[in-house]
Amino acid sequence: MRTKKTVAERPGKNNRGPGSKGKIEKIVRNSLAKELLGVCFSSLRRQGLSTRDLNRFAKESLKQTFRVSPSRLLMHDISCLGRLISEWTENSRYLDATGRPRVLAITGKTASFDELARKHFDNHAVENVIKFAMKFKALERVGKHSVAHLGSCVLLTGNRTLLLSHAVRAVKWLLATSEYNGRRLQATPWPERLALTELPEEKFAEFLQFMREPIINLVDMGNRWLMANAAFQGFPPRDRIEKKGTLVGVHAYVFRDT
Amino acid sequence: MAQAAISALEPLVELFLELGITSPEAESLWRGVFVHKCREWLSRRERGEPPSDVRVALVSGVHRNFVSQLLAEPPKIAAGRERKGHRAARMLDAWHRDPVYLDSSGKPRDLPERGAAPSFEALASTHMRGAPVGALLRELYRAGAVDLLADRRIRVRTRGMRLPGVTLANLNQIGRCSAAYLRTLIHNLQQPHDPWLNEALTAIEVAPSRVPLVREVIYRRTVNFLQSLEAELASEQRRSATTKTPSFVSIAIFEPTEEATK
Repeated sequence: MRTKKTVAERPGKNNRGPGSKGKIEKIVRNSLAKELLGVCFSSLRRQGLSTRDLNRFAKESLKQTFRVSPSRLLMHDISCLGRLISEWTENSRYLDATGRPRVLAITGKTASFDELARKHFDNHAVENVIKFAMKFKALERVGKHSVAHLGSCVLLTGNRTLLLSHAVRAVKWLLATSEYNGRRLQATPWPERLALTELPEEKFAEFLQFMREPIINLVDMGNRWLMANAAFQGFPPRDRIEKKGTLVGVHAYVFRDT
Repeated sequence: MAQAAISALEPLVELFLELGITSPEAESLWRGVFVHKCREWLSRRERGEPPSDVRVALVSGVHRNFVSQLLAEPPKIAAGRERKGHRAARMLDAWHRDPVYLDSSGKPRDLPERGAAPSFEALASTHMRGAPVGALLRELYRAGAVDLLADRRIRVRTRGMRLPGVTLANLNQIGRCSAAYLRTLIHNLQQPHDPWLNEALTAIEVAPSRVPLVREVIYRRTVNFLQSLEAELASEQRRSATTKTPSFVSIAIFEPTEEATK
């Protein structure tokens, strides 16, 4: 029986003699680059972008460099909200006797939500911050004058633009990790792990349930560590974050190949 | 005569309530003690001659098939009558699992007492149909399962329902846990090359104002770890179903007192 041989196994002038390994690597790398672009293109097509537009964007993106990344700009308020929520969860000032975030008065002299909002959204009215946070299920109103913490995550579910922006950053960061680990045999590579297999369709929901809590827990642990060791203790004004911060983080998610 | 019996029984009922013994459990216990006492009483009257099961059945009013069963062992609560966990346990479990009742980080939400879901009232009406919300809340609070927050909001504290205080069930639990830990320690002394898990976190100094948060984080991580481990090892349990004599492996985590960690 004849089997199809891979590029590396196939005999021919390409893998004979010195330099053939480099040529094969180049071919493989080119194929992977095409595949990566193809993955991005097909995903963006599913977002409603036309092939014509995508071709134009591809050309433009090779020439154009952004002073501030659009995705970072778009996610700025979300990041502010994330930091606000983290402080509400971490700072003893905003915790109750059991160590959980307490219901905060919207305005008041001590430990109010207004105080937190002003710290993290310096140019916004407190009511706008509440509306914004409620949109992402970060808090809920308790009566007319108080708000309650509703979890330490900002949920982007259902918001396609913000999710795309989130995905752009995730792709960028995954490629950066891959680039770093691939440069040479690193003494301390950045940890990056993968588990995958073919799963019966009916088992996928079970897998989601199995992974949900550990992923939330892992990221929560990472977030607590990052908050405790951040370059700016006590959460800096946003202009300082933009200028000084080197973004470092951890990202975990479940996926299925489509 | 009934009034006199009621007066005599009332303090006993109070004790049962304190001990967390339900009416079906008390009735089962009562029947066993009654039959044993009846045999003893008849035997005394017959100068030490043990009565037949039929005689005991006639005098006690318990069917003779049950009499022989009850006399075969010391009086105890029948397994069929023993409470299989508190009814509220299912509700508490749903509060920890149902996505409607979880926050964005997967933790159980603090709930308003009344109103449409997600609320304590809605949760109770789904899982404890017919139970009055106020009484249920008081019972859960008494058991330490929930905290009552400001603005009529409720916070769940435990996934299971255990009545507090020095109850038979709680004393049994202390006995089981102490014995299990002692067995591990003794095993490790005797078998240093094949030790069982016994790890501890070195005590860390924490500012008093941060203690509640640190304890909350430890609780969250531990519960999450145990749940994940249970889910991960579920396949082992399925495999053991085909084995006649399975082995049992378990893990317990507890928070030692300050004195113990120094």
